[in-house]
This record gives sequence, structure tokens and C-alpha cells, in this order.
Amino acid sequence: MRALAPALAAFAGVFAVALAATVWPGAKAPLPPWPARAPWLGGGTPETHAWSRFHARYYPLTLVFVAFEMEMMFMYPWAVVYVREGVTALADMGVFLALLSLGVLYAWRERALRWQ
Amino acid sequence: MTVLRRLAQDAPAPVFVARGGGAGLLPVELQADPRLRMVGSARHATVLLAAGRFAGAMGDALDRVHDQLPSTGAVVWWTADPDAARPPSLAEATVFGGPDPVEAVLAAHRRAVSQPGARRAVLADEPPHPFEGRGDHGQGGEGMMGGVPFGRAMAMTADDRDGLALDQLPLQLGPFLLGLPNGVRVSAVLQGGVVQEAELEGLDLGEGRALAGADATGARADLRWLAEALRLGGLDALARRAARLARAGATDAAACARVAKLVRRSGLPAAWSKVGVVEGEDARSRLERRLRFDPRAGGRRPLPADRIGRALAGQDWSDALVTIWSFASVGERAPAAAAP
Repeated sequence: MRALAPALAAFAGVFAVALAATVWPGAKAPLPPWPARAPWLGGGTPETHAWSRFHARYYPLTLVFVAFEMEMMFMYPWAVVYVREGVTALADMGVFLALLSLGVLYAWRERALRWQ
Repeated sequence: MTVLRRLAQDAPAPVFVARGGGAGLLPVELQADPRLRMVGSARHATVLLAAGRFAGAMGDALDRVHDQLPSTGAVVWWTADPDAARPPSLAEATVFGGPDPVEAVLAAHRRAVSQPGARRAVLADEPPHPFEGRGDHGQGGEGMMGGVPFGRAMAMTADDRDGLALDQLPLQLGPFLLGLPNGVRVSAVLQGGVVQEAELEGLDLGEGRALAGADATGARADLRWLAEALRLGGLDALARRAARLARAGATDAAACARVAKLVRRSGLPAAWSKVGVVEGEDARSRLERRLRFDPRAGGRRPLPADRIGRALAGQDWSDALVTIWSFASVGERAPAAAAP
């Protein structure tokens, strides 16, 4: 823990400076008037908040990427220690693959693997 | 004067142009001047250049744009008729009546940067709906969807094309949005970036022309249209080239042909392909007709605005803008949506 102290102190220092740089100017400056705070619509007006739920259409691709990328990230170090650890490593990998396959099955159900 | 102010003064002036009645597409040519940098929003400008007439709903829209300009920004009114009725946003504007407003804009930019003074706002500093003191935390609403939290209602859900129930954003866009013809306003309902419904409305631009040189014929008019189309497509260098040629009077047919060749190589026609198909013709075909720089080639009958509005449903917003601009008139005597 003592070895980590300088790194933690540096991190805390950077965090404090970044927080101050973010909060301090906002605390000093008054908010702009209401018409200036409206979203830019080229002279038009919004009827509702822009805070809304929309469809992230790239999400099936993201899901497949995360599932297969995590698999590879764990399998390489696992292969290095597999011979030494034996059955324990095999069981660990079994549990990991079982959990990961749930994600792949979900992606399959969502038709993420279908080429369109 | 600080070093930063001096650098800002000498940098290209960020200008937002609002094209009003009688201005036509003449202001598009200003992007040919390297001392100006055309920006897509008044928030990013030091100078708001209001070109032409602004009466009624156009004046109200200009007031809203005026108050979104940074408080130190300057306003220049480019008009041949300074005695015409002016909205409150032009009450303290620098009036310029000549054919080329670049020097007036640069002077306003230098003034705004070197001696920034707070410009007087036009609209009342009030939220769109009263909300303070209402609700559990004074935010104006209860729960997720109730009331008007912080002055605006929350978006309501509706079915979308994927069978999900997502929020809809009803908006009024324009008439001073990049890609919208003069005096055109779009009432749209968006889900994410997809247009669910759209209606085009042509605001009253008034009769006649308000700027010397606003009317253009033949290649010059097409080049103005093309320069804005290229800017909409993010091809700013090519847009400047088309604007330079338009500004020079566009008498050189070989130079026009060279620009057309560069546009065809740029990928813009491919990006416009299969976009905004109305009566079997897509935006690419309408672009190709303009690239011929032949006034007789533009002769398809005008389409009513409601046909264009219906064609926008289901498109991404960027494709919708391309569709609208592909129908824009090169001469602006009438609202473009009503007579594209």
C-alpha cells in the first residue's frame, strides 16, 4: 500500500485540479438568459426536452464485440497457466464460458449474428 | 489589448448568415472570401449578418437567433431598404446597403473582439413555461413525465419502426438552418435522428428583391445553389471554389465544367443517390441537372410542399435536409417550399 501512496497522491491531486477547473468557472459565471439556453434550431422552437430515449442502433454489434473480445482477453492468460493449474483452471474457464455464452445466446436471440 | 484578442481579431471572422426576404442565395457567395468563416449556428459566430427583409414570423425567428448569438457578438443588417420595418433584433444593428458587405462584417467582428460590450437581449429572460416552486423539488414536475420540469414538458413515447416505444421530439426547425431554403420552416417529429413526420411551411418573404444582385440567372444561380449543397455535404473547400466562381460572375464555362467534374469525383452524387426519391427521381438526379448549368434543364414542374414533406418520413435528418435542399429554388422570389 505504501508503494502505491505516491501514485494515489498524484491521482488525487490531478482529480482535485480537474474538479476545480470544471466547477469553479461555472460557480462564478451567471447562467445565460433563457432564450440563449434553448437548443439551436435555426430560429425554431422545441416543444419538449431534448432529454429522451432513442434507439442505439449499433447495440447488437457492440454486444457481439464485447462477448467475443472478453473471451479472447481471458483465454490468452488462461492458456499460459493452464498446464500448471490443471483441473482448477479448466473449471474456471468452464464457468466463464457458461456465463459468456448467455450473452452470445442473447445476441443470437436479438438476431445480432444475422447478416442483413 | 491581450494577445488572444489580437489573434482573434486577425483570424477569419466567424459569421452566421440569416437569409431573409429578397436576399435570394446571394449571401452564399460570401463564403468565397477567405477572411470570413461561415458557421452553422449563431452560437459559434461573432457576427450575425441579417440579409434582406424580416417581417412577421421571419422577424420573430430572427429575434430568437439574435438572442442565441454570444452576448458580445455584433449584428449587421445587409439591406437595400433600411427604412423597411425591422424586428427588435435589428434595432441597433449596423446597416449596410452596398453590394459587398465583407468589409462591414470584418469591421463589426474587430469591434466585437477588441471592445466587447454586452449586447441588449431582445426576448424576455423567462423560461418557456413557469415551473419554479412547483413539484417535489421545485423543478416543475412530479415523477418522470409529469408537469414541465425546468420549463419544458418531457418527450412522450410512441411506437417506432423497430417495434419499440421510444420518445418523440416535436420540433420546429428553421428558417435559418443550414440546408433550408429561404423562408422555409420544418415542423418535424423525430425519434432519435429519424424523421417520423414532417411538414414544410414557406414563410412570407415579401415581394421583390431586397439586395442588389440577389437575382441571378443561369450558371451563377446554379453555382450559388451548388455551393450551399457542398457545404451541407461537409465539402467546404469545394463549396468555396463554387462560391468564388459565382462571385466572379460565372462567365467561364470551362471553369464551371471543372467544378462539375470535381463534384462528380467528390462522392457527393453517390451520397445523394437513392435519397429523397419523389416521383421516381432521387436527389442525385436533381444534383446532376444543376451540374449541367443549363437554365433549360431545371424545367420539371414544381412539387407541392406536402409531397416533399411526405417524402421526408422515415429518413435520417441529414438525408431529409439533402432532400429539402435538392428541391430548393435558385431564384427566391417565392417561398421555395411552395414553388421548388
